[in-house]
Amino acid sequence: MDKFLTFTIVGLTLAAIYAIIASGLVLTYTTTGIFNFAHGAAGMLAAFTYWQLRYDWGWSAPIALFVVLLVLAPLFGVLLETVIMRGLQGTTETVKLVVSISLLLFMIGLAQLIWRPGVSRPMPSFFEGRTPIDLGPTTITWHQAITIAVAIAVAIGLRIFLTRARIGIAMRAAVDDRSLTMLNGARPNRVSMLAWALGTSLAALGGILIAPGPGLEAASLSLLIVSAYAAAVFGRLRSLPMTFVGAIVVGLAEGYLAGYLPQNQYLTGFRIASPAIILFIVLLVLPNPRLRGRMTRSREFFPMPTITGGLGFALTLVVAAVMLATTLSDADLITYGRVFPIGIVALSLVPLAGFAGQISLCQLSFAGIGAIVMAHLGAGGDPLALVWAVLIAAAVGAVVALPALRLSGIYLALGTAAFAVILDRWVFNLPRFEVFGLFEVNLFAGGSVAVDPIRAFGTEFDDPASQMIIAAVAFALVALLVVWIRRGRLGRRLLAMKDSEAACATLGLNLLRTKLTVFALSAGIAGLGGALYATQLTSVQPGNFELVQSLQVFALTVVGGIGAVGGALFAAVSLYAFLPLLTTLWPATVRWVGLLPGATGIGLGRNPNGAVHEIRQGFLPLLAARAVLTVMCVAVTGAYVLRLLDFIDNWTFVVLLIACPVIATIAAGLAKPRAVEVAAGHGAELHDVPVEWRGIDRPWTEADAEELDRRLGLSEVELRGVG
Amino acid sequence: MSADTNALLSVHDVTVRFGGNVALDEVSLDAVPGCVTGLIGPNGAGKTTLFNAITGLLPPDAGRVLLGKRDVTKIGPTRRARLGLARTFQRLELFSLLSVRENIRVAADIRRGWSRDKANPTEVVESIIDRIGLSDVADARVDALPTGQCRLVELGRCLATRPQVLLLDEPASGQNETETAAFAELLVELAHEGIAVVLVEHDVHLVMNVCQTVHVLDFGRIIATGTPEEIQQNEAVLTAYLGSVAT
Amino acid sequence: MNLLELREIRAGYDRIDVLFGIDLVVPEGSVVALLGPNGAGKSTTLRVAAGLHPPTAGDVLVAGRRVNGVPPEELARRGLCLIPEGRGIFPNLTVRENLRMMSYTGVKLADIEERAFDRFPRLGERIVQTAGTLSGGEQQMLAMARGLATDPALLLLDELSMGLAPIIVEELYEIVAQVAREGVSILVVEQFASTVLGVADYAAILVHGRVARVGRPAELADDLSEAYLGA
Repeated sequence: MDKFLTFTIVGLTLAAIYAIIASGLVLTYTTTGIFNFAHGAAGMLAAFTYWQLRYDWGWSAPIALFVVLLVLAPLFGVLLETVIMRGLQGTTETVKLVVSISLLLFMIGLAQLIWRPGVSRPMPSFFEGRTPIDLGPTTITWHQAITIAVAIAVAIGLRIFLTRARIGIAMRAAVDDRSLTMLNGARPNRVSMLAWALGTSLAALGGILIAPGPGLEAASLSLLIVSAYAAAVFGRLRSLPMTFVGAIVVGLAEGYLAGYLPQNQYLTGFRIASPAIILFIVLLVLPNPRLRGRMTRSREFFPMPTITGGLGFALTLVVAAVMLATTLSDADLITYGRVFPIGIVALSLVPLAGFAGQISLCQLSFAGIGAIVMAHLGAGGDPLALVWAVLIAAAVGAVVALPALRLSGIYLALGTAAFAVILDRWVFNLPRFEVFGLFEVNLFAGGSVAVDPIRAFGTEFDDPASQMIIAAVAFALVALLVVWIRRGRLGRRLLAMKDSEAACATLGLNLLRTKLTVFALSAGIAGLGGALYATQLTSVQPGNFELVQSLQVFALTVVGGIGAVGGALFAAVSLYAFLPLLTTLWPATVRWVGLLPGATGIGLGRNPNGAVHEIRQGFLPLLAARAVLTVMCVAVTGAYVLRLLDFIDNWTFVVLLIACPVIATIAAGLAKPRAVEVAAGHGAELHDVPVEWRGIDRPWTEADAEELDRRLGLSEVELRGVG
Repeated sequence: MSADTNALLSVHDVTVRFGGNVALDEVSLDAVPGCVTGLIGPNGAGKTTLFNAITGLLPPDAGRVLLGKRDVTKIGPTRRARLGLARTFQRLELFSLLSVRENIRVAADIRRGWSRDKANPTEVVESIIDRIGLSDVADARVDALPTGQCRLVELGRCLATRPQVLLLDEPASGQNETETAAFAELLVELAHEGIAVVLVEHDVHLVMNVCQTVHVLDFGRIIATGTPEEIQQNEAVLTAYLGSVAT
Repeated sequence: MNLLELREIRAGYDRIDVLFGIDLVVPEGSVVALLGPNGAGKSTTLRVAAGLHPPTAGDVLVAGRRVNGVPPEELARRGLCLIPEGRGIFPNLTVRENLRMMSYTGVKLADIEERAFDRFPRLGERIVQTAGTLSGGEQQMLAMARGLATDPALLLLDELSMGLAPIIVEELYEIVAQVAREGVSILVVEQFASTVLGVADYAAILVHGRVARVGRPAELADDLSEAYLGA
């Protein structure tokens, strides 16, 4: 009984913290329509800041609390709202998600930049030394009592604020009807700013209260908030009272799990993953939503890829990979070789999130499954294990998809994120176990497993160079597969389903089967990427396949352009070639690069077409100017031969390799105005900006609209390019 | 209500409530092959809600929906579609990222996926594009088209599923007069081919021209049923539409 | 003087044009009805007038001053009030909170409530009820009460009668007539002529984004019958 009470108090304390954090999340979501994935990270930053003020600089607790909760946190919230979130009105859910995920990554990076990880930063709980309060059968610490009291005060305070204060009422009014609040003369922007200020303060309060428990560690503290997400989902991200109820359910469940779960090696991870499991279950028991009709109109435009374009893209990649493989050192190859397997994982997002609009944040978990399969079935280098990796990952993908099918948008994102956490915190850490005595499962063997190099055609591909080429060829083939899908029946069907599930259903499409297909396909591709990644790493562990990496890959693929294969390459190159290159060239940047993926996502995530579009556009003149293209190819080949003959060193070669296309593009650009003049002389109409990109690159005009109608038939000719 | 044994679609006493509001109150109607059945009424009368209930996007609180002799009240939209039911949407539900041709192709491919009819989808699509008169813009992305043509694409998409019952939700809104005239002709043709058409429309000229039977829906109830001429003279309809001016 | 004047207004959504040059005036102290079938552009016209939707061409004049580009909340503060289609209320707020939102226009809550409950005693009995649970007629009354609370000079009403039983519509239009007698200029949009013509001084029929006919209500009966029922 005493034990029960003790853990009830533990549970209620957690519940109190989750309620505080979740109410802030609900506040910002309802008033501005943006689900802030970085909400927990704001709490994390606040906890670090508080530690800095209180314990490193020795300020007194009330002053430190005042500065963090009532000055810095609200200011930060207002900053987020005005600089980042306000611009997201009217964008698609994917864009909003990418921006807030990038914000999460950025804030983790920022915390790690300011407070170097690995240093011990003890953060005592409030009134740690004081004797706990005696409640008869059990006791309650001052920290616990304060936490619960604060949560009650927050609940009452919010209630009063939202029903008595005019701006509070306006906040609720904005949830009902934003444009009507404008007609009333209220200023909705002010309402949003206040909501973000208040929401961030609540996150900060929760962060400071929770940090003494798990300790100050940026990533895990940011993701601890998964429990608060579960509480908010209880209230369907709208109802504050239900959010508090949800917090109590989640908190108590965690408290009792801590108290009563048997102590063994199989269940330690289960406890850590339990918030994610609860979140997953809550998502699944949410009432079925109605079939979706048209959502926010997306302004995205991914042109239909051409076969020749796809082949050219694939061939260029393989050639580039061969050149690098034969020139770079083994150490460099190990670093940069990861581009291709991770690129394949990013490619898996293109049909799923790009074509079908199904957001998934657990692609690296599927990759992890592929890696496990490779490690066990590929022992001795059996290449058939790659096939198994694809099939088993696809099967797991289908199983995940089955419950996840009912979810869409933000809920699907949360569900897949929860799945990723369940895998990387619990399942991947399981030691060897038996299933009904029938067979043994040995995932990462409770630590890490070795992966044998692939052996085929009597050769063992155990050197980084051949592994890189294999991965590049695989990437090229998968890219072609994705292009083929987009051009075919399945691709059309997926794009159709993204636009209107209601229309698809009333035309007789089996939505369930279509979604299962694309989930399985995507998981299979990710599994292949994971398997190849594993052979490159030679030894894999759960840490290689964590949620945070999935988030990075997702965010950067969207930045690159989620609807085209080029976007996947962009993500992989940015993460695994550009960043390492940067730190090699300027070692001083090593501490700063953690900020880059997040910053890129925040800055560029808004362009619905992705950065690859801009890049491709830059290369368009080059692709048109055949002569220049040929000269460039010759020059590149020449540089490669010089390098092979050791006339030039690696750095010179790489500089030449980059310089050639750049110079060629400029040359082609110079050659082009003449072509226009000539064409104009013949009375033909030639525009510098392809019609499809008017309105993106420059404002729309009436004439553009008419011309678009006339000329869309030409789009494929006009836009021949990569991907 | 009449229980036409010929009816391809019969709606029996369908009731839909949203909270306390009754959106549809025991609505019954039949659609028979070869006929265009009109459904008119003020905004908010429940016309689109009725279409949602018929297609299975919205489960009714009471009543039954029959396709042919088969009670489909409990089955989902996908299976209803495969029994020969197709519809267009008042708020267009086009696949905006695809071209006109691709939009129709999606529907043709869906049919080919489940039916035994293995007609070449390319030919099916081309003949439909020709029929709805969009050959000139077949490769244009649909979000670049004016509303009138978008409505035709939705119709074309329905036709690609070879429907027996066709529900059209304000198909002429956004069309100009020439387009509407051509559209009326097409509707009559479709009916002659044996399709049972139900037409929700605000363009009364169109309704009066092409419909054999017209139902008037007001506050979720059918207040009048009859031929176009009867409807134009009906007291209840005149009051609902013109109010004090008519009397 | 004309309280509201629209000159050659063109407007559209995305690239689909809805209005093709609307000219319309609301003289001070009069009730103007804007009628027409679905999709004719009536609501868009109102949204343009209230500053919620920017016209692509043409001028909007309120009390003789050009107000293109003035934000809607500013127009609200200058005495223009739009009651949008589908009940201009916040369904999850109570009646009192709904009224309180009007105090952003600078009027005191006490005055707002006094005026509202004077005109609509029924609302006074439901002051703590959540607006979404009121009957359709009461919701529309609340919307009007909120609109009138600020003593607007110009009231824009969008589809007042939508989804309401005729008897309630009549009751509402009696109030509209009363408000008009107090000197407020009113522009009413209705899809169906119904009761509004009994109240209106002028009416305009909108078809396909153009004003097809303007006149005194009595002159328009035939045109309406033609526009709506084809006979």
